[in-house]
Amino acid sequence: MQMLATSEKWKREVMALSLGFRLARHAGVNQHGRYYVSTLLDLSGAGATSYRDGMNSGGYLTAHNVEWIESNFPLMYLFRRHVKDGGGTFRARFGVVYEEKQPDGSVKNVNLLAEGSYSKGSELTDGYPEFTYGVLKKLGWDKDLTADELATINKIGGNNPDGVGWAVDLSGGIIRVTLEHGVMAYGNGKARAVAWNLPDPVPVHREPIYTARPDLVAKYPTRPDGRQFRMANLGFSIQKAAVEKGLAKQFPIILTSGRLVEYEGGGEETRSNRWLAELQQDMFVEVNTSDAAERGIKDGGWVWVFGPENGSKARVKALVTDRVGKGVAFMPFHFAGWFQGVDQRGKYPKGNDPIVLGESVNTLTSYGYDPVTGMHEGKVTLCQIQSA
Amino acid sequence: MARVKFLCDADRCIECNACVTACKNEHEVPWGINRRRVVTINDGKPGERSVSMACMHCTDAPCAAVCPVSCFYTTADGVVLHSKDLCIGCGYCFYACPFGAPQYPKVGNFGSRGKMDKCTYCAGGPEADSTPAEYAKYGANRLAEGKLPICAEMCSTKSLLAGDGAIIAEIYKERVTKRGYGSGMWGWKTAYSDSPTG
Repeated sequence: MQMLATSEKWKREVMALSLGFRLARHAGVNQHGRYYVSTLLDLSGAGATSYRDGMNSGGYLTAHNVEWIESNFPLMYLFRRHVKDGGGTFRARFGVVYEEKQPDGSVKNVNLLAEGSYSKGSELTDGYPEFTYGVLKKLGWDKDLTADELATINKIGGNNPDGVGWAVDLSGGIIRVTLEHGVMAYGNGKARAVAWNLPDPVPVHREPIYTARPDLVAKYPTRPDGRQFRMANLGFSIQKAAVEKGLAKQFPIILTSGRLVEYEGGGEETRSNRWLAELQQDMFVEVNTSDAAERGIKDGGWVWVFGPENGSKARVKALVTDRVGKGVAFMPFHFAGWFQGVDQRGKYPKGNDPIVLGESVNTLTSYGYDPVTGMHEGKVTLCQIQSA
Repeated sequence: MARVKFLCDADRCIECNACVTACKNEHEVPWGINRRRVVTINDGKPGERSVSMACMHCTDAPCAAVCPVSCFYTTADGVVLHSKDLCIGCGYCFYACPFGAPQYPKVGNFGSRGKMDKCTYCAGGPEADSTPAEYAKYGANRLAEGKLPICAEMCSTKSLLAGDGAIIAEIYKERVTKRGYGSGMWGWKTAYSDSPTG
């Protein structure tokens, strides 16, 4: 995309694509003789794409229309189409069976493959696992491989060519043969509501570590302390200490963070874009009108927001609005460059400071890590707000 | 010749500011000058509504009526353009405009505002089409290249429509019929009341 954006031919046609995972799928001249580029994104947002006349787009996906996506990508559970035509199954990514513990202590084997459902034209009319050379052999489909493909599979497999799966078969032969037979190389599994291999197989309510309702912690505590990979996770102890210290009284407002349409991620790139920077020039906190009235906070005025850990604080502008409920505040996470009221612009390498700087909300966010992914808690904490 | 118009379907505008960003990028519009802007009313309240506003290229343009140096002219397509060579920066057009379209690079009175700048419907100005001289004063001339205004082309929800007034009105009517409600074609009565069809 950057290449397109710098070319003489394309630069006026491609603009304002935000960073993130993206894939320029289609570029060319449309039926009206106009240049166009369409992108398909699976994360982050697209600022804009050219010449999307007659096409609605939204969310994370920009493409011509749904038919175009279907014909270019295998879609999960699109059974009404052949796999060569965008049809698809659910990936059998997690094996074929799991052992479910029964209340009496015995173990029951549960099938993870699809049962009786398959995509149009599939020669296998039931669930099936991810394809390997070994599976092809069992079905007698290995004879469809070309000599070159077989040589590559044998080379990759070494002593165990049967174990070579579709994902590592550099010849692409396994995928080609499975498509010929109307099946998906990645198998035909089924989605499950019970994620048996996660700490909470079905989500249960757990109060945030810094909760505005300490009375609920005894009944809905966070998970016990533990060690995930190399790291200790002390969520339980910290939640308990927060309740004992009565932090919810000192910090009575729930603080959450989120994104603005103009900026992306930490915002260093997008705050360096003059068109976007002009649209959002100040870091702010959204404060409910009655919370603001109690504190003498005026819309557009400066406030200090205090976080529950380490005496953290941030100086930002107040946006007084009923968009947030009473007792809730919102701050965007795209700002950085100020720290606890002090502008840090001088510390940027010369010429690399974004146009707009502001306090980072993560100065205020607090402890909490997901036990499986290690993802930090950036969405729920407590704060106090005071006019500055 | 078509009579081109803008139509902002306020039921669809999501205040993403793509139109504003596209406009600024296309024409290199400086910081502080907005040929197009998104106005949100009842922000954060039930009934919040946004509308993307720029010069509406009125049929009987009030800016042209009050201009003491007659710098405005209407093209065969119905686009209201002006000459920055003639403009004296008096600011009358700003007071006359019902949409707040005219913009000035400087603050002050009596000619000290600088040359007025406004939306050109991506149609440049009096200079020869698509020349550097035209670009420097008025920005890109997409109409001369057979293209529609970049703001409407970039609109993420197809709220903002540009093109032949009869066709975009037809598109809007179809939408209203399909969804069973409509907030009105914002600004149309003010801008085009004398020519409801053409």
